[in-house]
Amino acid sequence: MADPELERRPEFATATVAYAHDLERLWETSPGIAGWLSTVDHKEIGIRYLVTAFAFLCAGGIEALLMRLQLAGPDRHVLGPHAYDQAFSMHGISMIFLYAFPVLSGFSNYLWPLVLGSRDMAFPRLNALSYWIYVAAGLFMYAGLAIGQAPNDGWYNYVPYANREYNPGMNEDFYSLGMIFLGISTTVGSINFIVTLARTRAPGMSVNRLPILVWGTLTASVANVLAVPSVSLAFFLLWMDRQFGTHFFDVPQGGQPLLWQHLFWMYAHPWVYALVLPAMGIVSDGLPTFCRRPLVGYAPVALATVATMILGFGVWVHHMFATGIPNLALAFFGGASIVIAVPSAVAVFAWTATIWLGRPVITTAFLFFASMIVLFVIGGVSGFMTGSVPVDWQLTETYFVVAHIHYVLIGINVFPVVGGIYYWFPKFTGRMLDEKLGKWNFWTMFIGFNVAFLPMHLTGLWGMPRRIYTYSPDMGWTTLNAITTVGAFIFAIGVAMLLINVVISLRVGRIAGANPWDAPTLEWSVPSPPPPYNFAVIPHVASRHPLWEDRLGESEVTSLVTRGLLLDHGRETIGTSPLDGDPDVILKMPGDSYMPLLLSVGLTMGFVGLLVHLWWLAVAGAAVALIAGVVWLWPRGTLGQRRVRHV
Amino acid sequence: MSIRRVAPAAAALLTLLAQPAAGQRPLGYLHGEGPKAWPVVQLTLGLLAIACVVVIVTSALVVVGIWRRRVTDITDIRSVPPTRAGGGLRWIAIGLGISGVALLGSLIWTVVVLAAVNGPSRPTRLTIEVTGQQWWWKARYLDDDPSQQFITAGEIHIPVGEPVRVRLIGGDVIHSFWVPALAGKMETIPGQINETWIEAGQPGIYRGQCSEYCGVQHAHMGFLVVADPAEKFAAWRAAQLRPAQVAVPQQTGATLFVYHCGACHTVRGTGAGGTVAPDLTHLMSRGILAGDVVANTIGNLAGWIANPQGVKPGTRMPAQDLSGPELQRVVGFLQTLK
Amino acid sequence: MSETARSLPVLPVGTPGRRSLGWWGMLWAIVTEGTLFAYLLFSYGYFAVQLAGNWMPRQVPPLRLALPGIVLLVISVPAMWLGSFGARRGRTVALLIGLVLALALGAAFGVLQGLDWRSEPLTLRQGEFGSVYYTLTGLHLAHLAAGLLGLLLMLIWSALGYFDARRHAPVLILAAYWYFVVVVGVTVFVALYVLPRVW
Repeated sequence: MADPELERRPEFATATVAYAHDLERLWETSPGIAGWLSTVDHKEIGIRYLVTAFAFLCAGGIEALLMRLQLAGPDRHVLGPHAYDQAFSMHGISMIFLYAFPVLSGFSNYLWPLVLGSRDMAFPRLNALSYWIYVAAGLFMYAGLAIGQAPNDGWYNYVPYANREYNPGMNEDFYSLGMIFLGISTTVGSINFIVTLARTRAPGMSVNRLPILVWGTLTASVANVLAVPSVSLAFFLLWMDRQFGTHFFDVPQGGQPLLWQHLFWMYAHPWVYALVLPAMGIVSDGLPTFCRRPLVGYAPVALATVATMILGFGVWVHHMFATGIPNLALAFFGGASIVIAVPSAVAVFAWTATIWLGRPVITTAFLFFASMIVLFVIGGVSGFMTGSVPVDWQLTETYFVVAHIHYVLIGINVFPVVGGIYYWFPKFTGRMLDEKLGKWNFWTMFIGFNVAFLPMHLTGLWGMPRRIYTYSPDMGWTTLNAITTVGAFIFAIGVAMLLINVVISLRVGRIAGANPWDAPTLEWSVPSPPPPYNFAVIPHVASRHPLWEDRLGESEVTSLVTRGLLLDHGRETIGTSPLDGDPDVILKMPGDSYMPLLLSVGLTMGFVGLLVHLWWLAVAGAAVALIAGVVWLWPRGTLGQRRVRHV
Repeated sequence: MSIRRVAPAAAALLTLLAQPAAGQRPLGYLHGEGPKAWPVVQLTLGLLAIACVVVIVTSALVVVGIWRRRVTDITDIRSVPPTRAGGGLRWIAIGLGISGVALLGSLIWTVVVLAAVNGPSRPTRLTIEVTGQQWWWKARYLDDDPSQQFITAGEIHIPVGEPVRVRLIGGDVIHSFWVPALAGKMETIPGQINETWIEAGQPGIYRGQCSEYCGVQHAHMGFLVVADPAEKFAAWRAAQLRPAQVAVPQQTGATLFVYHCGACHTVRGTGAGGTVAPDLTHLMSRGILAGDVVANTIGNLAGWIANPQGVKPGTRMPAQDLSGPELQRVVGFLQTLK
Repeated sequence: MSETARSLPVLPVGTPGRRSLGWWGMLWAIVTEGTLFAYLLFSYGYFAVQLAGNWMPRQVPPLRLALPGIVLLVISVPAMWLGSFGARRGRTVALLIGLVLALALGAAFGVLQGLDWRSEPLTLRQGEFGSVYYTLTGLHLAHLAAGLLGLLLMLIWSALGYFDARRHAPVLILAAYWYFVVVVGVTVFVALYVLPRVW
């Protein structure tokens, strides 16, 4: 007879109250500080990612406002050159590495299991580890700022200026080690997403039914797995040069400054797509709810997501048009940079058609999503201009490019993210955000953003170079810079309104119910906020819009959300085949654990040791991390990894 | 809103933006002053026009799309049932078709311009080796005859109407050579030699600026390109080749200069032969000081020597321990370096 | 559809072999680590192209210790395979022999590489080649160390009787990693010891 520990036929039924109670007991995190430090619940981790990312957004925003005060007029003295250089470097690092990607990880961590019909991510403990390392790496880099030695060579950190010869402080050591550290978080997080997608979806959740957010995060994750090693290596080589006198970037000894640029941009260009594709997914999934119709062109949009990233790996050289690379190669990379506009156009027309052919319900979330289309187009066409090699020789390193990246990163990341918060806040907390304040919030941000950054294109066309801490009045940039500074402060007020709305609505917001927007996807089938086990029974998915099937009236079969697989022999969820989503294993999920935290503490000790040359501390940190890892991996009976010896 | 009506309007608006007051925006690049810049300016304006049209049309589509069937009462979203009206794939197909044509056209235009500015149409007679240093520019005028070579800094003179080859050397970190009115950027990278070329269509003073972040005084790494008629350029060149003449009254100042400044600066004809800082043999022929931080006046010069870190925080130039009278003598000497 | 759902087959529970999540995770970990080495080899090639002839040291790294080392490392592949075969069949003896052999062979490679470092006239600061040589071999040694540690854990867990014919995913996962370490080792060997001789 088969051993039920090793194989069994899952029951198929409706959940009873007693069963749900058992699940609650199995999955809940213990209360208090112990639970807080050891939880592996993807929803808790997702929220932490969001909150932490917003904290870094605020820090980066304050740096930005200081810079705008310095640049508000010519020859001002708010920041000296040393402070200004650290401010713009930390601003870039905060926004690009510590806000824009982690905030999307926050959404995806929270939402993936819910939209895929699973009870957790594939590796819950790895998820916690990814979060702790992210926090530690972020604080590590900010520690540099606290002692006045923050990174000071901009976010792309060109050598040889970053070499010890020209940059003898600890500034670049904070950056090098911090980025290697952060890379660990990104990598394990990405692997977690990929395996989650491949293995832990609800039965019937085939690849052609995945929400676009999932496509976006999946694409970004695969890209990260392939791209992050490049930048980790680059920073590792830089650190070796600085500490041990190797010669990778040391010119007199044959070091190659352009190798840095290749390694950095081979990573950073795909990375920019990783910052926007999941956010575009948020719009693709959110817009249809408020347009009251399915997304126009699901398959083209999904394919465009993947195509963008594939092309995105082939255009890194367009950051290096002015480095003396032969013109034939430039023509090729310029062409590729222009062609990459095609998949973006697919998404734009799909969204526009969705609005035209639907009945737009004007909520705050809708306004953020719809306005993103316009901002996306502006950021897209300015990017298309920089793809044209001879034009880019003028545009590059001027404020035109600064305007471009802000339309990309604020337009295609921040706006969808804030829209996403208005959209999913009810799911996260059980309460609605205030719509009236929301409208004010939207218009303040939208107007502030465009006042700040639309004129900045002209600032660039009139020749203002990036990264200058001051300028003289006879350059003709005074008025435009003053306008930008005013816009930046309006935008900041808009962001503050979001935070105020969140704080107020957490206490007094209207109770949401399971599905306040009458949205079509699985996450809205569970209570708000969802129980720790997400789904009492594992749902069965038969279409892209499980909760709209009855009204769209086209599905011959129906998804099942109230009856499904009962899995309650411990923490369990279903494992499915990668393409079709057919169940092929009952997975045992780990319980809460301190090991992710302990491992992060060990790694932090290690990196601090390397930073300040306390080698004993580095070794001790490695030992702590090792012990945590061994305890973590020790085979457990509860996970079906070894036989439980019954007494 | 037809494209045919919008496009010329946008182009006219852009031309307006570009044309007036070029002199008031010395680093602006919507106006070109030479054969290398002109095709690029046209391309820039053309792409800008396409970009504006695309933004206006899609924004209009989004706004109108929202307006025409909007639902503003959001109290009960369930009262608007979801439907699957219309396919909508046509939108994507048509949109892609139009974008494809625009992209292909832009690509062809780009390649044409790239070929046009790839190299000068005529052989060049003058090659200048320009070195980017933290935070100033060195220019060496090359000549087959070594006695005809000379070095200057901060101000590059070229003959008008003649293509000039520029060899770019990275002196320490990466900088970028940029004279917006004449040509786009080219980085100066240590360990490799990049080449570009410039040509001024008419006489004038064109502002240049380092445009790759290179350290604390990246903001103050400007230079001037002075385009002179052929005979004036020849005269300037001949003057630059001459060593300095130290008049008797300036002897003390010159001695002080050699002692305090000569390890870094060169003044040909004196004992000052340092090479890490600008060659000052003809300092008074230049309009700017310290990478374009200040104009070259006697007061600015004295202030700069007395307190370099105050004028340009972080500059490599150290303050010298000069008394008031000594400073006066050094400045007096420098004033004679015409 | 509910019919198919109801007629589910009997499903394995827990972490069965290659269906376990850990195996999938290791697959992608290998992809990302492999990419890391690919970028480092790209840098190596970049130096070779940019610096053309004058970047090789006068004496290319000697084969005296490296060649036996790499042979031992390659032989560890069948040893590891024997171990994972034993694990899949539940044959503890084969499992233990395979693990011990792989551990010994891997450790021998590590020792030989260490001796090679000591006898090597190159230094870390001696030009680009020295920098690349030590970084590449060093990174590989770090991965080897992780593999040896993993083998040690597997030995302990095998000895504790944690593995049987149905529960042995960790062994398969580690084996995948070990094969990766060997492939990287061979690639590094070709890049640093063979190519400089061919050029």
